[in-house]
Amino acid sequence: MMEQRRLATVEKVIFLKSVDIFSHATIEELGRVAALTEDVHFEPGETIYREGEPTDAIYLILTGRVVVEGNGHVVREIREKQAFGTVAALDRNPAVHTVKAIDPVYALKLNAQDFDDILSVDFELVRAVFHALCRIIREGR
Amino acid sequence: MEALRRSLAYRETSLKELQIDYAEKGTVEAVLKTLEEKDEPSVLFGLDLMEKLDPNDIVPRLPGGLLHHSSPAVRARAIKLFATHPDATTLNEISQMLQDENKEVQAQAISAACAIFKGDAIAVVRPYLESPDSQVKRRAVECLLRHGDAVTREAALKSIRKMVNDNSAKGEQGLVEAARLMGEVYDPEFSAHLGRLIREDESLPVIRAAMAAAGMGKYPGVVRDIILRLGSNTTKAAAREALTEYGEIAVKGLRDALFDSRVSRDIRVNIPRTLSKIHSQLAMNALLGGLLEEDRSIRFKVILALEEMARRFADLKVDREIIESAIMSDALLYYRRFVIFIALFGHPERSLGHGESLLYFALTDSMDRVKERMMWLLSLIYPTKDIRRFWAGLNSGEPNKQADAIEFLDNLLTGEIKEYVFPLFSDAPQAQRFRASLDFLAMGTIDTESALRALLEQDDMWLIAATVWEIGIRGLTGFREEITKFLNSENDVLREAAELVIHRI
Repeated sequence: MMEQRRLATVEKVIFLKSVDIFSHATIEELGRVAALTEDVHFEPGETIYREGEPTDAIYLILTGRVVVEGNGHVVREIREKQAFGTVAALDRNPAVHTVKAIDPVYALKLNAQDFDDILSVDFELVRAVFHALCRIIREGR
Repeated sequence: MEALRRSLAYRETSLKELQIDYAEKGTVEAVLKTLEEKDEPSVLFGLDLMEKLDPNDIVPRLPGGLLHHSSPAVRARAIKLFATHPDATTLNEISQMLQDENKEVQAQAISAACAIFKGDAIAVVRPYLESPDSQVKRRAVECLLRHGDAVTREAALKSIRKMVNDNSAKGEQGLVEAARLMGEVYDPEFSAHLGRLIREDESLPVIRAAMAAAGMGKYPGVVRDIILRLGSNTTKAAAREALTEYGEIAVKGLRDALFDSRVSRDIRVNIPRTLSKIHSQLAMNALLGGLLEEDRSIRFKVILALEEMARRFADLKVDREIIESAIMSDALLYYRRFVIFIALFGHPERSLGHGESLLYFALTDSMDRVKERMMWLLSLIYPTKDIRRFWAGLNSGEPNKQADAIEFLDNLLTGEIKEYVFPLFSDAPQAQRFRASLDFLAMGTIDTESALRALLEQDDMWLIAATVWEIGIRGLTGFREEITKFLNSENDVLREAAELVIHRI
C-alpha cells in the first residue's frame, strides 16, 4: 500500500478549509490549527474509538472512509474531507458512538487539549467555529 | 411577606435578584424573622439584607442570640453589625469574642473593637500581631495602620513585610491575607510588595488577590505588572477586573501596551475588551487609536470593544472623523483585494477550480472580513439597529431581502462615506463593480501577472504563501526569481511553500 505523503502546511490549510467546522476560519487561523495536527493512519477494520470511552481528539479524514456505529448498528459513514469526534472532543464527554475504519484511512488528528488552548487565545477562530456550528444547527444536520 | 420570608429561607431567590423596598416595615419584619432560623445559610442571607438597612433602626432589634450562634460565620457577621451601633452588651460580647476559639470570629471581633474604639483599641489589638492565624494578624495590622502612631504603624508594617516574605507552603494564606490588607489600607510601600507578588508568586490565589488589592488601592506602579497577566488564561479575568477597578489610571498603561508590538500578542488581544469596561473618554480614545492597528485580529477586537463601549456608555463621544477614516481605509483595502480577485478568479473561462486554491480562500476571507468590520464601524456612527437590520437582510440568503437591504443602505448613507462604502455592497453586475473599483483606485487595468506581483509585495505572510502556492498551481515559470527569494524566508510556512513550488516551475 502506498504511503500517504506528509502534507505541507499550506496543503493542510486547504484541506482544513474544506471541513465543516473550519469553513468560516481564515487561512491564518487555519495555519495555527494546521501546526497542531498530526498525520495518523488506520488499517481497515481498526477501531478508532469506542462508544462510552473518552475521546481526546478531532479527526479529519484525508483519504478513506470510516463507519460510525451505535448499539451495534451502522449509524452513518464518514468520508474524506469530513470530520468526526468533534462534539465529544469539544464537550469532553464519552463518545456516543464507535468509529471504525472501513478502508485504509489517512487523517489529521487534532488533539482536543491543543484545540482548547488555541481557542482560548484566538477569538476570531472561536467566532469562526461558532459560526460554522450555528450553520450546522440551522440546517438541522 | 410570608412568601418573601419563605423565599429567603429556602434561597429560592438571590439577593441581587430581589427588588426590595428596605424602608418597608413588613420587609424588615420578614427579614428579622429569617434571623430566627436555625440553619446557617438562611441566617447569613438575612444578615446580608440587614447590612443594607439603617443600623440605627435595625441593630437594637437584632436577636442577641446571633452572637452565640453555633455557626462561626454567623457570629462573625453578627458582631460586625452590632459594632455599627454598639451598646454596653456589645462591648462585653466583643471582649469575649476576642478570645473565641474560631479565628474568623476573633478576626471580626478585632475589626469591631477597632471600628468602635479606634486609637483606644490599639493596646488590646496589638498582641494579635503575633497570632499564628493570618486572618487575625491581618485584622490587627489593619487596625494599627489605620489608628496607630508612627511607632505602632512601623510595627504593623514590619508584620506585613514578614507576611509577604513568607515563602513556605503554609505562607500562601498569609500572602492572600496580606494582599487583601494592602488593598484595604493604602501605603506607598505596598506597591513594591504587590508588584512582586503579581510578577513572581507561583500561587494563583495569591496573584489574583494581589491584583484585586492593587486595583482596590489604585497603586499606579503595579498597572504594568497586571497588564502582563492579561496574557494567561488563569489570570486574565482577575487582571481585567483589577484594571477596570483602577479606572482612568490604568488607561495609559493599557494604551502603551496595545500599541507596543514588543508586547506579546496574547496580552494585546485582551486589551481592547479591558479598555471597553473603563468608563472614561481616555479609554474610548485609546480604542479609537487602536483602529490603526495592523494586526487584523486585534483591530477587530478594538472595533467590537468600541461598539460595546458606545452602547454601554452613551455619554462618551465617538470621534466620527476617526471612524470615517477607518471605514474609508478599509474600503480601499477591499477595492484592492477585489480587483486582484477578479483578475485572478473572476473570469469563468480562466477558472482553475477554486476548491484547491488557497489564494481564492485568502482573498474571499479578506474581503468578507472587511465587510464585517465595516458593519461594526458603521454601527458606531449610524443607528445600530439600522445597520444590524441591513446586515441581517444582506446575509439572509434570500434575494428579495438582500435587495431590500441594499436599497435601505443606499437611503441611509450620505456624502463621502456613501461614495466609499456603498459600492462594496452594491448588487450591480460584477464587470461594472470591477470597472468602478479600478476607477476608484485610479488604475487603468490589471492582469493576472500584475495581480500576483502586487500580492507578493504585501506584508501578510499568509497571503504571500497563498500567492506562491497559486503560482505553483498555475505553473507560472516567470515567477521563478521571486519565489527563489522566499527559499530563505524566516517564515516556516512561506519557506516550505516556496521549496515545493520551485520544483514545479
